[in-house]
Amino acid sequence: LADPGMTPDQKAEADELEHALQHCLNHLPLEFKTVVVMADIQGMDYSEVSVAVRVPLGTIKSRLARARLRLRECLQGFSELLPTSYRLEEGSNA
Amino acid sequence: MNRRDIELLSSYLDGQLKPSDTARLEARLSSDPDLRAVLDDLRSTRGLLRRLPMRKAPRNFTLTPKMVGKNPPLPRTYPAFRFVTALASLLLFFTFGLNFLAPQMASQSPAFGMGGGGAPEILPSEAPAMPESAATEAPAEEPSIQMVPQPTETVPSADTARELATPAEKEGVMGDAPAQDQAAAERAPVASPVPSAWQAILAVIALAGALAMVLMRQMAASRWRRK
Repeated sequence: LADPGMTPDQKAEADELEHALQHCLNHLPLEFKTVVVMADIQGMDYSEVSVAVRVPLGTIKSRLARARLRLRECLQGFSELLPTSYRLEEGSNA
Repeated sequence: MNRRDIELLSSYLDGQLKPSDTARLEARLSSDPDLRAVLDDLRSTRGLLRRLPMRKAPRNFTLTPKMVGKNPPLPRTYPAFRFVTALASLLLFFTFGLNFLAPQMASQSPAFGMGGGGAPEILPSEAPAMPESAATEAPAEEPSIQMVPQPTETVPSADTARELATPAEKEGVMGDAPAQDQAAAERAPVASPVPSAWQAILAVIALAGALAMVLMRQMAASRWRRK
């Protein structure tokens, strides 16, 4: 029976990705990091995040958008280190 | 591209836009490739974040009410029960002390022949006095023996010996009686200033109050946990 788990290469790639993401997350301001972790990593709804953080819904939307933008810019600096499948394509200037 | 566009794209990605705003943005996306590129970047970034493995926290970070220091609310009558229990316990302790000290205080007070502290001292002095009194009385009896006429010496001597014995015994008994009365008085326990019935009542009140307090706390805690 084949092992359903990751191969060593895949495991190494996943570890590098995790390292890069963790680095970029740690460099976000706290309010942005909180919203990104709750919405994108833990999968919480906008309203749930708004209640948890005690901030209006509009502020949550704004913070999430700006956090994603900053993460995108940070991850582009890792593009050479990231595996090909994970590299972000050069988008337009945002 | 401004911040407002980025917010719109991010909200559009999560399906958080109103239908009218969604339609307007989709119209713009169909005609603006740069806008589509930014949307793709945001989508990729969100995808990478969702691929992060969930790490288990080293410990449970949630706080329990106990850790916060919050106690379950107690009934309004609880302070009254606490006061009554404390008062009953204090009074009970006080009565025990009073009943314990009362005999000692009574034995130390040398008042009006109560036979208190002096009694033990009297007894040893009385004891030698008893045989002395018997001894002094016995010689006093002898002249009466001598005064009895001779022919009847033997018989009267027995009689007088008997008479001797009985008066001496009587006097010994009489001499013993006051000493015995005093000894009896000394041995009789001093009445407790606080009757034991009152002590029992105070003990029952203290125990019942303590039990009621414990029950109230347990019921309040179980109600708190159920919430």
